Amino acid sequence: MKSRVIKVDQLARVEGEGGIFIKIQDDRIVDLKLDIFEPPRFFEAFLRGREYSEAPDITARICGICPVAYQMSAVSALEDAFGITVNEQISMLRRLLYCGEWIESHVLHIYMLHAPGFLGCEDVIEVARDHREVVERALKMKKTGNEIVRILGGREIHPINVRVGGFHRVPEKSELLRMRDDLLWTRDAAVETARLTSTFKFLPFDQEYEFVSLRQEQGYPFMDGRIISGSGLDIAVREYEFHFEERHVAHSNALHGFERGRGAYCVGPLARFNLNFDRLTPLARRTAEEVGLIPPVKNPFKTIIVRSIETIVACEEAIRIIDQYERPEKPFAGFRPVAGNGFGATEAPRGLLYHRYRIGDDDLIKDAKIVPPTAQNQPTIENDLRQFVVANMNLGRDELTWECEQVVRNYDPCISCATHFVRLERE
Amino acid sequence: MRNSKPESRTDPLPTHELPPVRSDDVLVIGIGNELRADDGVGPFVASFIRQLNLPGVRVVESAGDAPSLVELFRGNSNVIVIDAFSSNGVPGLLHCLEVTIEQSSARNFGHSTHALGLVEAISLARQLDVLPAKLYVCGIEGASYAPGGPVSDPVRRRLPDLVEEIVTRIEEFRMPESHGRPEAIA
Repeated sequence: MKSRVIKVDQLARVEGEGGIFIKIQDDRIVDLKLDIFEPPRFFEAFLRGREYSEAPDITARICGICPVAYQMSAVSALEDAFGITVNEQISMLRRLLYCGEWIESHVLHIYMLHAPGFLGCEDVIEVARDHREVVERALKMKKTGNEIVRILGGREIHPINVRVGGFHRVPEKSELLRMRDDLLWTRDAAVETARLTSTFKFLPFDQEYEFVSLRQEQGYPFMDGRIISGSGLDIAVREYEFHFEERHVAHSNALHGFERGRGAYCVGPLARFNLNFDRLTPLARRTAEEVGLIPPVKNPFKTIIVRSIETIVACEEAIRIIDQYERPEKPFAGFRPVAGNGFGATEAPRGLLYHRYRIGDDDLIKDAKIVPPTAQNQPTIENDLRQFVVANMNLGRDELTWECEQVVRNYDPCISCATHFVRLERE
Repeated sequence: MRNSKPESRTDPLPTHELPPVRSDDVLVIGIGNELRADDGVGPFVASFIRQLNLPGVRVVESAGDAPSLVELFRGNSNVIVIDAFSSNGVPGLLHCLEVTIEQSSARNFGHSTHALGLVEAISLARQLDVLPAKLYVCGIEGASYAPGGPVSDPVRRRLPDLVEEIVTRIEEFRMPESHGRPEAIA
């Protein structure tokens, strides 16, 4: 009996701590796990008993790379609970803030986490040694995204300017116009990014997915709208838990997401792109067609190109919003909190992020449910690993291990965000 | 339902425009998450240093991701990074390491819990020739990083000592020659 094991104790170039274990006997997979070492999501419990107004600031600290996503889903759910409708300018400012986060998150992943594997480099430091101008371009692009978050969010990390009903402060138009030149540059750099990533070598690996994303009445999905799927699902956000559930699996601390009656499903850039291709912004659409990226796109390795296209979308949307911006008279809508349930879902860079809150008569959060995109993608990532190994049994162990790590990285998993300590080894 | 007035906020948030950098300015960067117990060391101490209003000292917080840190390093000659530490040492142990341009980044630092954290930022900055001429990484050995948990007692007791250590480093930056000190301070 011939057996081999692919074991990666700590995945490199993913956010957080996770590992892969795959045992193969006689060319048959007998065990496969994506091990998640993430501490249980205490934040849901931590929110109980806190005042509703604290939810945006607390949830922003769940993730250091996508705090805006958590804030947007939180205020969406709370505004649903309180019956608040924000005006168009507030809505546009939130979309702009989200554009900033998409730019910084996607650029970080494309250049620093995903591209090195396609370039045969161990990490971005090696890329910088051989292609310095590419890394400098990435740093400048990311800085543009960070600047949007800083100006609209109040600071670059853990934004503090978001609140239920809108913002604590809204910018003057002149503050936004200062970013315009950098956004134009970043948009063009994103086009170059799409062209560059489209030249990477992609292993043939088309898979069948149940794509799930938001679909808005107009525009590429960031916030609002309904939840749709490739198989025809079309539901209001408040119906999410009737159709999707999370389950504990023995080998993981993270919950795994499943669609009731169907199984694994896929959220994120690939889902958004396939379900909303007709809603791409003009330059993003032309660039996608130029590089031959037309739905259905079923090869998960090509998400690196899709993220590049979405970065163009974010830049185009940001410029459009800035050009039409008129400073609202009030930074937030007035409201009175009411007891009840509220449901919200927005498109984090990694995919659909669902929040639900139950608010009591005392304005305190009685219950909270937060379903991150990475949890929803867990079963799909494991399915991809299984199918990939089956299709590539002939690869040597080192090459197969390397490619399996890329399979996980296709999803830009945010396995655990938030701790930052320096691990020191004494000699 | 409790009747409550709609909320209002009278003082607008600052826009945090950063002033131009002078060559002898010191940049203090706090890395961490205040909602994960001892991981909050960086931002807590950075916030305290900010309140001291030391001349020529700028204080920022960072998510600790490599690209953001590299951009903070760029153009700054004197930088102190504050972070929690994990070295199997006694919780509460102070650390203050000097990072030099010649030093191998992998020798003393293990992996950050972020995909691209401080370690990679130092290596990347070195590769791009933007590593600060003087860079210290200072912090406290943590005991707990539980979400929602408070700063542990061993760490809380040493916070004033860490502030004092950082202020000493800032003063050393201003001296004609600055020297590294032992890696760990009991």
